[in-house]
Amino acid sequence: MTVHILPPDLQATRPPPSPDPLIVVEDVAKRFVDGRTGRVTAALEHLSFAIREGEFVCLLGPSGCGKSSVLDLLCGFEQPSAGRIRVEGGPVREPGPDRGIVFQEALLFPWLSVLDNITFAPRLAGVPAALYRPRAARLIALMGLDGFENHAPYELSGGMRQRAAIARAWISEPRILLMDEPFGALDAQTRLGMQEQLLIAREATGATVLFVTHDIEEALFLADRILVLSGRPGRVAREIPVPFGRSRRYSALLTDERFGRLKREIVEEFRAG
Amino acid sequence: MSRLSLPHRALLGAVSVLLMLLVWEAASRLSLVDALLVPPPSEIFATAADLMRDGYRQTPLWDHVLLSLARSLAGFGAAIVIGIPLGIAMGMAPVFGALIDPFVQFLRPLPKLALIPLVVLWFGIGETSKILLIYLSTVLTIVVGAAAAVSQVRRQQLRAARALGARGFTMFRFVILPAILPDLFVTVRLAFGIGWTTLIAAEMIASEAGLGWMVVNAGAYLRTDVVMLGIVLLGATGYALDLALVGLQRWATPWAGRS
Amino acid sequence: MTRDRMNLSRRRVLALGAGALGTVTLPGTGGAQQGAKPSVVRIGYLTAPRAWVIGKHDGAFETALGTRVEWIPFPSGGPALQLLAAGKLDLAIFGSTPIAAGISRGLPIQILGSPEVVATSERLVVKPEITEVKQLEGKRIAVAPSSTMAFALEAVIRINRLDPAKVKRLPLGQPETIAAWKRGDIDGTYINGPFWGDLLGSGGKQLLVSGDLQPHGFFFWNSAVVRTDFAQRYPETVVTWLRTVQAQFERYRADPEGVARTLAEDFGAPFEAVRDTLVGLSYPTFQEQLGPKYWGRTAKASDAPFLKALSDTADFLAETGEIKRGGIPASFGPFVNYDLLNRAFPA
Repeated sequence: MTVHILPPDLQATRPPPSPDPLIVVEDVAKRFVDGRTGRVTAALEHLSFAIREGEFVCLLGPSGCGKSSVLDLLCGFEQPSAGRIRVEGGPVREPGPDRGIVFQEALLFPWLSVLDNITFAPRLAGVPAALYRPRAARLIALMGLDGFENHAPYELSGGMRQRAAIARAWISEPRILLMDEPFGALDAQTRLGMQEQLLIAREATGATVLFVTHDIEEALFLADRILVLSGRPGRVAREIPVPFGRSRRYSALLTDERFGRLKREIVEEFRAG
Repeated sequence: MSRLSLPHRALLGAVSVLLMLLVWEAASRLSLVDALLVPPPSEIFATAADLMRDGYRQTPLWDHVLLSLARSLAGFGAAIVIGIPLGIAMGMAPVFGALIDPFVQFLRPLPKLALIPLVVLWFGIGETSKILLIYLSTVLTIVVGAAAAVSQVRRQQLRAARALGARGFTMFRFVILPAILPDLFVTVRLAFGIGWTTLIAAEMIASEAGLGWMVVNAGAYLRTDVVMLGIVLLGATGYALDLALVGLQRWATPWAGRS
Repeated sequence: MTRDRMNLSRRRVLALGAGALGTVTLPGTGGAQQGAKPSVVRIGYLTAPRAWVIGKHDGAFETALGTRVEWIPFPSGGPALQLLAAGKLDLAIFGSTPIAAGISRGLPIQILGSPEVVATSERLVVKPEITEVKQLEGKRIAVAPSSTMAFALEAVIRINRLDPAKVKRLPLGQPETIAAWKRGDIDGTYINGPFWGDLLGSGGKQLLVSGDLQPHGFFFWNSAVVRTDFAQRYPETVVTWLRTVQAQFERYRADPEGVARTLAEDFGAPFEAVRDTLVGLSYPTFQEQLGPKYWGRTAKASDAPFLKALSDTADFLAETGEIKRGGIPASFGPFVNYDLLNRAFPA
């Protein structure tokens, strides 16, 4: 996988980070009522955490611990049953251009070309082509999609589709990127390349990322900080700062003894969980 | 399973049809089947030649085909124009859907032949009644198909679109409509099959021409050769139209079944 | 009623299809065996009031034939032909026009006289503003396809020298005709009883009846018909059936009102309409039918009026394109089973 040199204009042109957290989740609960039996199940209970601007945070937990519910709340697809969520100081009512979202599946629009998928949001918002075209071109280069602009999504590999989906979410330059196991469906080798590319792109844009995964190594490789969720109903069982710095290579990480130790600790946590 | 190339398949199909015609002709010649009940292909070809020259009952053969085609396309076209928006509305507005649904579900399985007396009483014996019958037999299938297509658009796909800023009309126009297009084509093809079948019933209402009428009328005089020719023409015309629809579908929704 | 008709017409399509697909003729029925009797006799009848069908009501045919009888209704001559072609009928009585068409198509049936001759049972009923036949030009007239009425309407056009292109003939079943009449979609119809009852009761005017066409050489009647293979195998049964048919007409002559009342109940139609329909046919005895005014006693009598009328009917059908001219026999004499008629009703 080629590593792309970052064009300077993809660097964030934003005001300096404010000391207040960008995302605040306070004592949030999310409960579902089964329409047929009337039984209430709690996906989340007493969930609290905060994310500062520019941070890369992984939400790590076993399947069914309510990780995806957290993202649904932050996206604005769902409202919390209790507690309070603040993004950029305000409540979250619905999805907005400040938050880019990448799902487990690429969910590209199959009737649009790769380019039209990537430029969907600015075109819908009526942004002039002169503005979004160059941005799209740079994202296409950054995501390794050169030459595939006019291809249909079904002509792409799974990894390329997911990269197109990331470009599509990123084109509006959101302050926050919410990612729900975006590499879960990819094979190991593709996933590794995608992870490295994500780190580079994030470094270039300075975006805040909340990344949901159940893969411990992925979390350790990507995150500045890991929030380990407990089993259902989910809450933050443990918070782990990741000590590897920003420019990471996977091969270097594997030989780092802290990597193995942290992985063991989290596995223990899961077992206890 | 290995797949055959298109010319290969066409060749095999032609061979099989030819073989069937030969066996059929032989069975007739050897009096294994009654030529009154199953006229041999040679007689049907001769009848076809006769009718192409003289027409059937004072009407040129192609006029029968064109008239039937015009009737079904008119009824079927109206069903598309009305059925698709109605179905989409039902699928998108659950309250509206729930209000309309009992009528749709009641009327849909109703044999449309049972409606003929009412249709004649209300709309007379002109073209309106024939077209209306074809319309009635197809519109509900289209409504149900369009509503189902909308409800089958994946929630995650809609969420992804919402996250990209699609709302209300833009959601409908740029996401839901293209997303349901492949399903709409399937529904429309299905409905066309039903509409084409209803043609015979529709043309039982005081017709003087049309393929369906030709088959029924010829049957009343035991003209099995004309009946068979009519059936062949009905089948071939229906098949040709379905092929045209498939072509349109491939052109309009190249992604269908591939994502 | 209407729904019933639809089912029937569907069934006839199915029957034809099934026949077309699956029927392999069984030649050589073994020749006539003296006294051979079928286990069941399938008798077809028109779903309109018919005097001889009184025998269905009280089992007269079962008693006379000594077999089980299956009564098979058909709404008009076309379906009757299809049922005969599919081998679903052995004996039936229906109209001369479809019979001429069937024989010209090679349907293996034989004619057994003409026990019902149409006089006033089939009528041309029109809107009151139409006072003479000439005015039919430019008008829409409904008529059941493949029926004696369709032929009668053509005869009216020919006798009165109307322009055939100007009289718009709409092929329409009787229930639909009544609906179309009430909506004002048609200007008139050539229709059989009891259906004209409705039309005359709602402003319709009777322009003429089929009997009026007889002086011009146009005869319309219902013939008794048998499948050829059945006649060969069970001649005695056919003879008994003919005599039983005759006996039913005698019952009717003895008590027309009583028979009409019973048929009206069975048929579900008003008594008066059924009575008038029955009166609208004349019922020559078989002895009369075998006389010179009808069929004669041998096939050689090809100048017999009804044989000639059948040829005329077939010619007319060929002219309109319903049948192929090549299929019309030189004479219909060989298709009348004089042998059985003579055995049943000796001179």
